[in-house]
Amino acid sequence: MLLRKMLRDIRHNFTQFVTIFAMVAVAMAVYVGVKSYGDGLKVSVDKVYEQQNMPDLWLMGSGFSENDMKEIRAVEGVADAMRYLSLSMTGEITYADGRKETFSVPMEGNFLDIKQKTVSVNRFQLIEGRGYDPDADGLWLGRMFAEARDIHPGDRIKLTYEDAEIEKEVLGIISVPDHVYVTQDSTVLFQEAKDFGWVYMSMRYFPREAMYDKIIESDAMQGFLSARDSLWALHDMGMSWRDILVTQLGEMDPDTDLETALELADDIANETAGEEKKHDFIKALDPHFNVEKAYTYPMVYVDVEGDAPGIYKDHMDDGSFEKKTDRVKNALYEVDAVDSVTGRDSCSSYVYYKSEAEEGDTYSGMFTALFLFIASLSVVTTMNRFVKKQRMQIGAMKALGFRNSKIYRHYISYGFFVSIVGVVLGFVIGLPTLGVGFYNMEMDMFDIVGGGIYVGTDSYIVAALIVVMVTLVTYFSSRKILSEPAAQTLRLEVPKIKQKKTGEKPNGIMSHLPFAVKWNLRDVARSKARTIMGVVGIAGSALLIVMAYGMEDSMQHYLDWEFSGILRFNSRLTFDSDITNLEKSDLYRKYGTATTQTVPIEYYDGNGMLQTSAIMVNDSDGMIALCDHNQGSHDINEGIPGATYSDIMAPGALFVTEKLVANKHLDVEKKLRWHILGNDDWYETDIAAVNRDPQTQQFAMTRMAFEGLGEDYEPDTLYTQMDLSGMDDEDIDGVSAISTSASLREQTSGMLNMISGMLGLFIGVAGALGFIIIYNMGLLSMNEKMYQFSTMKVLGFKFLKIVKIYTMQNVWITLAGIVFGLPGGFLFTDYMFRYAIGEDYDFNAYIEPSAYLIALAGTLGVMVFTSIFLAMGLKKIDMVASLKANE
Amino acid sequence: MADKVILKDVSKIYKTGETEYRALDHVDLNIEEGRFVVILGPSGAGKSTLLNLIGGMDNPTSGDVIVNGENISKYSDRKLSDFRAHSIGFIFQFYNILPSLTVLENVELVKEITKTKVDAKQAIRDVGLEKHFYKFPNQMSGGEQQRVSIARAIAKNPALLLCDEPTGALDSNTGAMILKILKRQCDADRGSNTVIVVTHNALIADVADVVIRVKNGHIESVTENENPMNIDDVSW
Repeated sequence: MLLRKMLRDIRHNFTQFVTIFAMVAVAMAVYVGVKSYGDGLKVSVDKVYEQQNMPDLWLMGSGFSENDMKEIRAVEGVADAMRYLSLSMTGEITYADGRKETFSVPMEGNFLDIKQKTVSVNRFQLIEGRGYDPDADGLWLGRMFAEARDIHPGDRIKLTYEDAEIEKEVLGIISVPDHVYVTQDSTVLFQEAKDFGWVYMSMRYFPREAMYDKIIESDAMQGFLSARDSLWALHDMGMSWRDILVTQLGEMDPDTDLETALELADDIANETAGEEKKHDFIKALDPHFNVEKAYTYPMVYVDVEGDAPGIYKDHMDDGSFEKKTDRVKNALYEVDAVDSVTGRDSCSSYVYYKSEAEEGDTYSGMFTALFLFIASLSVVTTMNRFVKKQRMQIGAMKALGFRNSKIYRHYISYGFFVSIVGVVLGFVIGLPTLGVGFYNMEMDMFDIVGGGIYVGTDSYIVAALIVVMVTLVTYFSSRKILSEPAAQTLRLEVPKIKQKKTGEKPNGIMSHLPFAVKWNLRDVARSKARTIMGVVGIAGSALLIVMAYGMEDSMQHYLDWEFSGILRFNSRLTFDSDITNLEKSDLYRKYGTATTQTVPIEYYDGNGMLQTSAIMVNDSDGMIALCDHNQGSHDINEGIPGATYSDIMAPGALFVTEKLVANKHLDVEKKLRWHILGNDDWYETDIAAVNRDPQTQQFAMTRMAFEGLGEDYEPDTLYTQMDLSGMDDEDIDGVSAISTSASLREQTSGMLNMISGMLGLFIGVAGALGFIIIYNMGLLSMNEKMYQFSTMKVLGFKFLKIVKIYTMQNVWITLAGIVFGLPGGFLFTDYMFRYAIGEDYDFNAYIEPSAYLIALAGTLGVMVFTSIFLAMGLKKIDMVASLKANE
Repeated sequence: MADKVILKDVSKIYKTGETEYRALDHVDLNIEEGRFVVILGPSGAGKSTLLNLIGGMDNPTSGDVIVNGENISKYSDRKLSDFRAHSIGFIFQFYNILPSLTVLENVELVKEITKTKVDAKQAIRDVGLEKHFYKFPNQMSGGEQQRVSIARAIAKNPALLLCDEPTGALDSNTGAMILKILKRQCDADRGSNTVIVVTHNALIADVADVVIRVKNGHIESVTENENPMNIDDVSW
């Protein structure tokens, strides 16, 4: 019977219960959707890292021999290590069946140790084709590029490195853990999958000719070539090859085949020799030459013993793995061949993915909390009002002899059932829409196979908490009424009066106020809970509007800061790693001498931990400006306020960004201990100045300060005010990439738009919820005052006057909400930019006055519209029925 | 005396879906000025509907309602508001005074809707509540609240005072006191107002000038009371 009553009550109060239901469902959908996508990103990548054995450390050197590898593997804590070579190449793709036209793209070629029969670190995940085999004559291609270009096993790729070419068949399509996120180079912020590919293959199929060229370029070989004419002359004079060897080339192997070498020397010197002749020439001069031993592996993947904590479960880590990795890192530095050791926190794929997965955490948590808060406000208000409306029925049930516990169960079941159906629906809606939707959106950028959203225990806990909260609200709403004797419950609730409280004094200023003001002031004072809920709900809505527009403004401000305040060039040319001095001179002559050099370093932070970072040695004539705390731009050679010329030009004087000082607990009064990666000379130099940068937290130095250390300034980037947007790197010798400030801004803006699109969705839904609250508040307030308005109408108050009275209070509540909402919007946006976007960013909120005006007008407009819409009902009100209903 | 209220062939039909309910059926009625009229009838007879039509709270389905010489049956909502504001005083069984206003403010409320000079304090004194100007309704008894309601109704000196079960929620002594106040409004020194009281309490009929009996939407009888009883003599 009571179940029937409950169903009918819900039907009769449909709008209010639907509001609770919708609030619970939407809040749950947003929470579980966003949480499952964020956790899905982390869990999926952790699975990939674990199953595919993501490297824990990367070593760099000029070349790791087999003996070096033995030494590395012998270091305590090293589980496995694998050497490789990685080169920037160009790939020309030819489809096996000619189904598409051949095309060329930049590619990264990775060549694995020829001795390695299986890939043990950074393992392949095979998507299509055959597994890795070092003896198989072909290559394995990255999945995202293959899918974007519809490339399958059987298609062919011609790789070009400098003048050397190799054409191989695609044997398999793969994913590898350290290529979850890749870009063509550091100038690309958002990589289109179709524009850049990467391959793995055995070193056995490395373009040998390029390797032979490198050997021939050595001083010894070049010396022999330049002496070839005189050697021929000695032979023509009758000297035997043996004598020539002993007398002229005494340091060479006695088994050297001098005759063959000299026969091939002209072709070699004239660059007309092919791969075979080059091999024979080298072999003739070096009888022990073994091509396999000549392969150069400048990089090594290292797997440290034990399981790395991973991104999702890192909160469960006690730091022991990190400590062990640090110990291994230090021990590896003792190996002679090792120039530098970097960890996952220097691997761009790992760092970017981690920051993307964690980025969602803070703002989604913040939005979800806001949602749940707004939803709970609505639930509290609505359930309270509903139970109050049931007062007489509760009294009747008590009078009939129902026990309190039975009545409690009955009323609790309203909240319980509505919330439980709401949370279930939240899961059903949230997971496939927000969860899967956001996850798939991210997967456009990341190469994760077999991953998906993940629903953790916390989602079920939140669901249970929502049900408990709604149920408790219902319990507390009915408890007050149920604690009264039945006879009292059957009477109307008498409002409490405190004659002396503010606004209730019958004399004084109150008596001079107009009726509408007086009536509304007293109504507000009497319905404190409803008023507070209204103020909070509207503050939330105003806050969300400010955030929505504020984020847009802040991002625009960031773009202006980055691309007008810091990057003040038109075009940027990144030098090839093997650019010649002649090419450099040519570039300086054409485009000017504004340059920088990025020097990778290691330094000890404020906690004594070794960190990896970089110094930008800046000789850019102000085209890469440094900003002070207030975002004022300065040429590094002029310093920034607070630093003298002698400070910034002193040998090794460093500039450091504010955020790096904070993140790494640096003491700017103390000297920083650092060294250039690959160089064992440690420096201890002063921090001369602190600057700000919105997205790159690192060090900077003047050229004079850098050269003062005895280091050679070797620029890697050139800046010019010339517009080179129509050119690409193939147009200019010695340049690997050309980017313009406009294209960089466009890329950054595109990436930010993706974030703001996601946030826009949250804000839109939250805004809609806010408006539902305003409507619900208005409806509740209208219902509560209906009989008073009916009395006024009977007395002869005109419709518009009643509307004015009703709207007046709502406008006050709205204005009060706005007073809290507008600064709240700024603070939330600022918090999000300062702390939520990632520790590499130094954003802050910058909100134009128009955002506040829109929030003010929007909230007020909706409230006035809602009030008038609800007040329209007064026009048709059945005065007598309304007054009788109150009786 | 002139007719204060004239109803000509008035019907009021309520429709609920397919069902029609005829609350008043071709009613003709004349009520003279300055009379104390009691409308009697059982529940559902149509007496409240009759009161609502006279008071301009509702429009008839057909027929004319003429009050003070004005046919209000075709008035718009706005004109009806004006009419109620200037010509009608209402008193309900459950007082319907605003809980967030003091006694004085509840009576002064009429200043918001009429330009007529209102002496709110005098109206309160007239109902014997001069010591309670600044009390709130919930600090008063039911009888006192009903007197506030009367003070609010008479403060603008309406030509017609309409009372729907004004003593229904009160004890006999308080009820008698309320009736005295209402009846006094018909006195010449008070402006010879017309007072119409709807009730199902037949005892009140004894003090009325005119008793109108309503049944099933029809006027069953209109009786002139030659010698209305003194209220103190009525046995409740």
